[in-house]
Amino acid sequence: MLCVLMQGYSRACGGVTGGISDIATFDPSDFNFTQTTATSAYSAVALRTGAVAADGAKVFIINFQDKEAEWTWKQSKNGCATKYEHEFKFQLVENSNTLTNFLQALDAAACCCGLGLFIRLNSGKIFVAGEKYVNAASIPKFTVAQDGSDGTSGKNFDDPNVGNILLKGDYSRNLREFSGAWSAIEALM
Amino acid sequence: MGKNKKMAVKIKKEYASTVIAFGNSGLPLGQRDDLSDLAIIAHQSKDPSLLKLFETLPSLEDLQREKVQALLPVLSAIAETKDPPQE
Repeated sequence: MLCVLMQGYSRACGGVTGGISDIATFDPSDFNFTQTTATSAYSAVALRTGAVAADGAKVFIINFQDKEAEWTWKQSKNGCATKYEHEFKFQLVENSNTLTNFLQALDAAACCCGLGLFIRLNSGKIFVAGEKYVNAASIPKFTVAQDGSDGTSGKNFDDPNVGNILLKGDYSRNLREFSGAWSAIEALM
Repeated sequence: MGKNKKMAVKIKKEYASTVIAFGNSGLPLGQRDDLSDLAIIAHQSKDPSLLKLFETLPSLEDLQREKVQALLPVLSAIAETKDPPQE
């Protein structure tokens, strides 16, 4: 207290499941998140004025290969400057024109606006990355972009024919949760 | 749960078909039965994009009081089950 206001960490005793259940992406310019205090989870999300669902302002589900998605984060510091490096990896099945178009859409987003992500863990918690607007005001940029994806056709019949997508984004903190249910996000799809 | 008819939380007509993702549902606002929860979120966040949705918005104190009052019968029932009458 004399130097910094510390806090502890505790959670209800019980097991926790790993892995990712669902990933969805969105244009960060389309959505506003609501946060009741500076440190709370986001409790609501909605389209911003001018963003029209019929014109493509939606949340888009990403159908990744089961058990082949992961979010990792790494904190580092340089003096008092802190950085959180976030990486989102997921595997998409089948090299195809559809995959090519999806990758180009990711590249375009990275160049212009960044990518927004909803990530539902198997534990049930939902995290948000790349968000741009909170309580109707823009926040410091959190740019998530495709950087380092690769793919393979495989050599044998039973080799994976996949794209391994890698999205990265550095920010000043870890990800915020969305406290609503996934069913609420599905309404924005 | 919580029809909240006592609290006059009313959405402006032009926002009845608006979808706000909160709680367990993404139904249009005109079909939600948990608008009191959204009203509390709007008050606590002071998010202008939420505050503008309401035609009538009770005070935060009134909304929170009604939320507690709705829970009191449930809490009483639990207390009676847990602790048989003593003394």
